Amino acid sequence: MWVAVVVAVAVVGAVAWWLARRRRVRERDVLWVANTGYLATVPAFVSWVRRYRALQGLAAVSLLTAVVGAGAVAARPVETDVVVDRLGTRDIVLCLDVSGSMIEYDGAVLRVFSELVDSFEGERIALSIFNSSSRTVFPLTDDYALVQEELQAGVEALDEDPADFDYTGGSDDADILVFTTFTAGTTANLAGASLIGDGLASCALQFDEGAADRSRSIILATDNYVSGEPIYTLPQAADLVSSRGITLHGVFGGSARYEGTPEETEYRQVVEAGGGLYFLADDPAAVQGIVDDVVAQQAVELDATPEVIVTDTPTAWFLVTVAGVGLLLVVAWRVRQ
Amino acid sequence: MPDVSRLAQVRARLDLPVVRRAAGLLEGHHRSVYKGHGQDFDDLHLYAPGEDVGDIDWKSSARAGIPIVRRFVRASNVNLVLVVDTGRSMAAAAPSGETKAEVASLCCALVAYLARDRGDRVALVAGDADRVVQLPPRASTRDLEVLLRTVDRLWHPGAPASDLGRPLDRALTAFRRRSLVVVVTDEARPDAGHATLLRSLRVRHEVLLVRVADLSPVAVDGAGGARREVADVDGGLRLPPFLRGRAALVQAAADAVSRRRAEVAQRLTDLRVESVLVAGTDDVVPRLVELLGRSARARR
Repeated sequence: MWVAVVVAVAVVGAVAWWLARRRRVRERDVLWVANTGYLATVPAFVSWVRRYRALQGLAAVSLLTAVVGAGAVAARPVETDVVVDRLGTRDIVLCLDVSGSMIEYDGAVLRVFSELVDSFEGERIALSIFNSSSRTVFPLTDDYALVQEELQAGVEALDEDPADFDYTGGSDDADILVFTTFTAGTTANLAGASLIGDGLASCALQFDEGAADRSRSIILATDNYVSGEPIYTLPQAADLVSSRGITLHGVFGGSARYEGTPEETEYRQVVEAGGGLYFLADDPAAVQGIVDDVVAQQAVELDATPEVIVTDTPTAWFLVTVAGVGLLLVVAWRVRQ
Repeated sequence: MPDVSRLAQVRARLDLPVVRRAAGLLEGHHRSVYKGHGQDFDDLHLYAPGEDVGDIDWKSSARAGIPIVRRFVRASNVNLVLVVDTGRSMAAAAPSGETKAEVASLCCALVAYLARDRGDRVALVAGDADRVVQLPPRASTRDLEVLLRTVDRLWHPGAPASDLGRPLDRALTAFRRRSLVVVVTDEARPDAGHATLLRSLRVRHEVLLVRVADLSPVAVDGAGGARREVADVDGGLRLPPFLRGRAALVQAAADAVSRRRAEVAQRLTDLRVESVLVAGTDDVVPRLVELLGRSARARR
């Protein structure tokens, strides 16, 4: 195929050349002069010939430019953008239980979101951590620099299990400081620990009332192991969440043998009653897949199929063509005159 | 070509130089050239200061009351040898816009006409790098016509390169008797290589040189000039319109040409060969008058 095209072009070129040459011979209208050898020794003539050659070269270059530009314009240069603008209307609150058993899962959730944030456009995200009391690490915001910074701080603080710290030896003092700094304020309520309902309720209050046109979701990571007397039980908190039009997605952090325990069952029922996705993760590495599922579910709900926008961008090549043709015309006029 | 009427106008003033002046009436070898061609009184003219007093025809002077000179030309059959350069450079353009061949053709015709008028026989040696055409001396009108047409046919752009040496050499060997040799070539010739030949030729014959000027290629301009391609017959030059008609360039080229002409003129002066440069057919008659006048003075 390509060989045929190349051969065809070569044949057409040869025929055109032959015809042009024949025409030149036939229409030969030459004014013959003689004894012109002296011209080569006339400096003015030599410099004019050099100027003529330079103009010819310039004409060839501008012709090439025009041809390349025209070819590029004919090829329709485009810019493709994949726009998923509907997903940009999401508000996501990460609601993490930072009681001892959940630290690893929280770290995994933060790590996944610190990667997701890079592709966020317009999404708002908040991080709230709780144990016996809640701390808002950052409220709903699209200040992704701040978000990224705080998520990284969280990942660093939560990447080691506090149970493994050497609290007396002093060798882990730096890590302990980082951890306690991040989780500070989550144990203010001395009446209990892991007050899941209260934590979830305060997460539900992260959403502002006015922005009802945005999709709202909470990603809750907990093992639903309550000790103490919460103000909100988990079902009450879930009611609050659904009353504010928020979708609750649940991640149960713990091994599979907890499946079917009253805490796990209650958690599952609460989440599924609200229409959210529920995951039982026995391995922190599974969190990546869980978050992907949540995002995919949101995409379906928001009808956010990626839209490919193809924009013609001929301007630059068009200008190149125009410049080439213009230069060619000027040079041709200059040479002909 | 209106050369006939022009000829009629100049014929009274134009005369080919004689090879040798008559020694006297008694030799019986003399007659007026114009005898038999009508009542042409060119052979009787008013005495001008500087002319030989012995040439005064006293009877005529007595009748007229003023000195009148009667001139005689030796009647012996003088040969006029036309040595013509037929190289392709002669097919190029002359400054008048005609081809140099047209100009040279008129020169040949004029010289032949004058010779015939005087009863001389005209021979031809035409040549270039590849060809040498020689025609024996003939006096009849028809033979002259053949001669001139032969020369005309030899001139065209596809002809071999010019080499004036070959016809000169042939003329030197072929014509032993003292003759009048008229060399027709272009302005670039004779070059230094022809000096020896010309010197030898000058010893044996009377030599006149008619050179046809070249058109300056950079001066070709205007509506007609812009459309035509300008090229050297010998190759090596193809002038686009861009390089033509530029005043500075034309001036520089003209300077170079005048230097070359001065060089050739100096060479001919050194050889003591009379020559003239002709620019176009309009220029042929005045230039030849000038040449013949000069050569007449030179012999005096």
